[in-house]
Amino acid sequence: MKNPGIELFKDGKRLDGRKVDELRPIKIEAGVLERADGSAYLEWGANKVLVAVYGPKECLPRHLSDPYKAVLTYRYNMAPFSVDDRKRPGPDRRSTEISKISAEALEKVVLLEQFPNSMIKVFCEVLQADAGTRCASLTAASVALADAGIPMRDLVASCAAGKAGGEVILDLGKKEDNFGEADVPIAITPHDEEIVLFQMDGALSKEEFQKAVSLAKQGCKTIHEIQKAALKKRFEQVKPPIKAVKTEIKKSEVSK
Amino acid sequence: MREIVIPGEKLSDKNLKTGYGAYVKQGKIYASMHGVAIKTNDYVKVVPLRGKYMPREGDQVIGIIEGMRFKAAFVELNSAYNGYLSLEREDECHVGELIIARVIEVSNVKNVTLEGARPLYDGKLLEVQPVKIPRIIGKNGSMMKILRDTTKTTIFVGRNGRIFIKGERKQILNVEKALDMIDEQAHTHGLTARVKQFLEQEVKA
Amino acid sequence: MSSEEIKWEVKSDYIHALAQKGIRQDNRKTDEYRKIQITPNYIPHAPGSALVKIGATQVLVGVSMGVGTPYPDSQASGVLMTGCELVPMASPSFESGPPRPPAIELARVVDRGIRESNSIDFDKLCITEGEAVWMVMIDLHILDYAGNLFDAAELASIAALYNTKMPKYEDGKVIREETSGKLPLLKKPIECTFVKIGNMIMLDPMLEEEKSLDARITLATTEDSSLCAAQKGGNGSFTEKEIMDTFDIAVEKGKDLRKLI
Repeated sequence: MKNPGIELFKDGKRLDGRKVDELRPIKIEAGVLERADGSAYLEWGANKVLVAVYGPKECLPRHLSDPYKAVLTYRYNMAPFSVDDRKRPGPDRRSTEISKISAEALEKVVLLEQFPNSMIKVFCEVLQADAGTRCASLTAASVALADAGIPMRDLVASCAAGKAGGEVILDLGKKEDNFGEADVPIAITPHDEEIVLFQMDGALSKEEFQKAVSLAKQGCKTIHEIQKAALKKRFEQVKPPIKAVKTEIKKSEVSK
Repeated sequence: MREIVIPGEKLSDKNLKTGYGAYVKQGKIYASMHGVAIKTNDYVKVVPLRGKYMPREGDQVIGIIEGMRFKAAFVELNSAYNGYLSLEREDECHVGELIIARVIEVSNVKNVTLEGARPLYDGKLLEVQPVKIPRIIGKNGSMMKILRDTTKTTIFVGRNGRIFIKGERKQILNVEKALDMIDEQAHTHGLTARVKQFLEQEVKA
Repeated sequence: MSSEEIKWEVKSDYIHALAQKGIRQDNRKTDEYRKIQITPNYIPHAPGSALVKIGATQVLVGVSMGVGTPYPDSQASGVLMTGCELVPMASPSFESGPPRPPAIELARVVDRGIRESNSIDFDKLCITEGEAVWMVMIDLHILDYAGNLFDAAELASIAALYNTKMPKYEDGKVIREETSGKLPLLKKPIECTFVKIGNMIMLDPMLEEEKSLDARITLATTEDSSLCAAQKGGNGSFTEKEIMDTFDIAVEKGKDLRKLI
C-alpha cells in the first residue's frame, strides 16, 4: 500500500488543504428512521453512515440471553456501492472484527445490567466510504443509542490519528490512509477520557505514537461536542412522534 | 429548572438525591439518559422522551396474548419482557386477543407476572411512546378526565404505551387529535386547559 | 409466531374492517401514492445512485460498473445483475444473513422490469465480442421498511441508472477516476404495486396494508403504455377484470412517476 511517489503534503498543507490537527467536516442528525427505536445519520468528509438501534427487546435466540444483563450486538456493514470496487454483500473478516471491538467499546457505557435477559441491537450501514468508517460508525452508534432512550454512563466518541508523509496527523483522509505510514483509530468516553477502542497499524516511534494518541483524543472531544449538539437539537425542534399511529379494531366491529 | 441533557453530562457537583436517569460517580451526579433534567434543591432526575417500557409492579398494561401453555398465557407487552398470566381455565383467553391487566410482580431476572386480565374489544388501539403516558393521564387523572368527559368515550390506558379507545368513530378521532396535541406540547404550561377548549370546540362542530 | 408478527395479525382486523367500508387507514384514494421523494446521485462516489422515499419507506440504490465476460448466448451484450439486501436496520423482522425468498423475489422483480423493457442499451455495452462486456450491477439497499418496497426499489433503480456515469476502459483496465459518458439507456420502466384486502384494491400499500393483504400485484409499464413485467404475490386471488383495471392505473401512474426522474 505504501507509495512514496505520492506527495501527501504541499506547502505545509495536506492534500485537502487541512492542517495537521484538523478534522474533516462532520454532520450528525439523530432520529432519522421510522421503524427503528433510535437512529442517527452521520456525514464525515465523504463518509456517509446510517445507524439504527432496536431494543432492549426479547433476546433471540434465547440461549444467548444473559440473566444478569442485556446482550449488545453490533453489525458494521459496508453497502456494496460504498467503495470503488463493488464490495460483495454480507459480512467478511474485516467487518466481523470491527463489529466485535465496537460492541465491546459500547458495552463499557451502556447500562446493560438494567435489562437482564434482553438484547440491544445496533446496525451500522456504511453507505459511502472515505477512510475512517469504523470511527464514523461508532460515533453515530452512540448517538443512536441515546436517541433510543437507552441509559448510558456516557457517549462514545471515536476518531483516528496517524502518520502520513512523515507527519503525525489527525483524521486520515483516503489517500493518507492508503499511502500513509500509520493509522491509529481510537474511541473514548469523553467525560473521563477512558480509551474504549484502540487499534493501530503501520510504524510509529514512541514519540510519534504519543502524539497520535493525544491528537486523536483531542479529535474525539471535538466530535463529542457535535454529538451533543445533534442530541440537543433532536428534542428542541422535533416532535418525538406518536409513531405512525397504529390501530386495531376487533372483528366484532366489522359487522356493525 | 429544566434542560435537555445527554448521557454522561454532569448534573450537579453536590451530593443530591437522585432519581431515574441519573447516577453518582465520585460524589458528583451525571445523567444516564437523553432527556429533560429536573432539578430541585435536594433532588435531581432525568425524564426521558423516548424509550422502551420497563414493567413495574402495580402498573396497568395493555397486552396481546401471544401464546398459551397449560393453564397459562404469555402476553406481549410492547417491552423487552413478556408477561405471564396464570389461568383458571384454558378457554379464558385466546391467542391474538387484547387484554388489560395489572403487573403484580417483577422478578430480578424480569419475569413479569400479571393478574386481573380483562379482554378489550370493539375499539381502537393506539401506540405512543410509553414515557408520554403520565402526561396523557395528567395530574390525578385530570387530562384523562377531560378526554373522557368531553368525547363521551371509554379510554383504557396502559403504562406500556398502549391506549385503547371505545366510542363513536368521530369521537375516537377527536381523542387522537388531542393526543397528538399533548404529544407536541408536552412541556408547555396550561396544556390541560387548551386541550379542554380544543375538544369542546371539536365536539360541538 | 414472533411478537412482531402477532402484532400485525391483531392490527389487520382493523385494516380489513376499514377496507369493507372502502376506506384506507390514512384516508388516501385507492390509486394514490404516498409522498414520493427522489434524491439522485445520493452516493456521489458510486457511478450511479439514488435514494427514494415513498412515505416512510426508504430505499437506497447504488449502481456499480465492472467488466466481465458475456453470457454464452449473447456474446455482444452487456450484463445486468441485481442484488438486494433487506438490511436488518430497516425492520425489527429483518435478519442478517444470506438473502431469503422475499429479498430474492424483490431483486428479481426489479431486475425483470429493467431487463424486459430493454431499459439499458445492452448492445452498446459490448467491449470485445465474446470476451469483454460491461457489467451493470444494481444493489438494492433497504433502509426503512414501511411498505411497498417493490415500487420504491424500481424507482430508485431507474433514477440511479439515469445518473450512472461509465468509467473509462483502457488497455484492459477500468479507470474509475475518469468517465467516458453516461450509461446508454432507452426506457424508463415504472412499477406499480397494488394490494387486495377483502374486495378493495389499493395502490402503494403502506406497512399496515401490506401486512393485511390477501393478494399483491406488481405491474411494470413503459413509455408506450405496454406491460414489460408483472408479479403476483400473496395467497389470495385476482379476477381478470381486476388485473385489467390495475393495468390501466399502472399506465397512468407510470406517466406521472416517469416525470419525477
